[in-house]
Amino acid sequence: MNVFERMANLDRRYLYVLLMIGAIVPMFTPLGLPIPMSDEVQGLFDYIENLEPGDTVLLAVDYDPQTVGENHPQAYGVLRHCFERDIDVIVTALSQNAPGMAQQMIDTVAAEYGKVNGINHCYLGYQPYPAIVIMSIGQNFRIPFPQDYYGTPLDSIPLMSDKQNYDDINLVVTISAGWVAEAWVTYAKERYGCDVALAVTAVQAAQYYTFWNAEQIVGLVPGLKGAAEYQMLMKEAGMRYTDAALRGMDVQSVEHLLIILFIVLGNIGFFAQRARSRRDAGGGR
Amino acid sequence: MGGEFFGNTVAAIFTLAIFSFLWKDNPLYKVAEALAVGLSAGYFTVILARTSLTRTLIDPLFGEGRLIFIIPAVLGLLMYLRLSRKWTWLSRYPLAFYMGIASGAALGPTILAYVVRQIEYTIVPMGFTTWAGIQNILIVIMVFSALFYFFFSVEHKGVFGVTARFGVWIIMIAFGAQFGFTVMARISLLIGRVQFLLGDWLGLIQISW
Repeated sequence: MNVFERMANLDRRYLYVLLMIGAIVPMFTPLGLPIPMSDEVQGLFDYIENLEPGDTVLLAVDYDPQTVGENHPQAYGVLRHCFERDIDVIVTALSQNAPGMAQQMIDTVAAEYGKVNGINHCYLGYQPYPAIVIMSIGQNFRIPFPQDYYGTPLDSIPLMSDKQNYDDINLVVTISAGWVAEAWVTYAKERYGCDVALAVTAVQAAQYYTFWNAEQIVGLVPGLKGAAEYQMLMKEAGMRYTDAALRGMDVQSVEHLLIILFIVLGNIGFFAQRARSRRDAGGGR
Repeated sequence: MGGEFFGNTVAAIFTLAIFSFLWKDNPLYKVAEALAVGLSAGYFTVILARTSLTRTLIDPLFGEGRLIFIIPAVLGLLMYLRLSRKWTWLSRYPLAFYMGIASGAALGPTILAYVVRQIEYTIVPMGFTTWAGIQNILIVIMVFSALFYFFFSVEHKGVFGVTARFGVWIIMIAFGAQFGFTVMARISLLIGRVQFLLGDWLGLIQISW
């Protein structure tokens, strides 16, 4: 087997080993590669910056534990930004495995800022059938969520006592790993006219740029890259931020370079092999 | 701390068991896969029973005595008649009811979100004097070409062929962007697990969200 044949038929497990090394090394030695800002992430950041203290954001935690690598930095970033600006936050969790994670997030971040449950934030928890829940909120929060996650009736919660529906909140931000993001745009935005922003996994992001281009959403945070941009914006604004997404982007860059390298090597091997077999076939005539 | 470390260790073992599939299929991977599927199904069943059945049917009907809830209860039970050959036709009534409501509620906003708004933002001011105007010309040409590829009432030859071929290239560029994002998403999943293994489990790096 010559070198080109080896390149074309390289055992994929070598790539897996290299990818794992590429994921581990930058975690210990951050490379600090630059992260250019995009308009769609800036859009959400600016929107929240322009809200007044006391305004309300609905943060929808619509992802499961398997996508925490992408969605956690987005969710924590947006929640911290809201609390930095003294904006009240209502949290829902419309993915069945999300309630525990959402509760942990609120407890952690609220403690950092000294925010009080029921006054500055309210956690409504999970209800099944996201599209129906989103539509119902358009009529009244009390239809899908007669009580909060801890069993307190909404009318007994100071933050919620004057909140009836989307008219009483300023923005919905969905942190999503599935089609629920589309349901928020379709129903909360198009049916009830509430401003919506999406923070989604990268695999979903490409299709949602149509929403951004058509001005149906006020911001789009795509995957880990979007999360890292958001953290950078918070850092530049002098706010509290974390570097989980920023470190992750170093890994992304290394991994992408490795994948490109292997694609190039594989193709060189493939074309060299093809040229050789054509030459051999021609020589035999 | 001890409990947390134990939990993280179990999670780490199963993470590594799933990763072991990359080497080759093995019993450890199969156990981890079966456990993930079984646990998810069991967890979802309990959550659904608690939220969907108890809160929205049993509590209002039996706890609060709201008899109107008998109607959805009966409709729900009729669904199960799909399992009977003789009575399966009765299951079509709740299904028709469900389809009617779902279609009625979804049709308007869906057309607005996916068709009307998208068309609206393709009707844009074009011109050669500004960068935005040139971009808009490109948008219109690309949308038209991509749509034309799916127009089969004329043979794709000559100018029609060129337009359709250009449309295919545009669609391929969109697929390329989608694939690039997908690679990024998959790498992100790996990053999430590596951060868990090195941070939460082994404590070698400090990860705070």
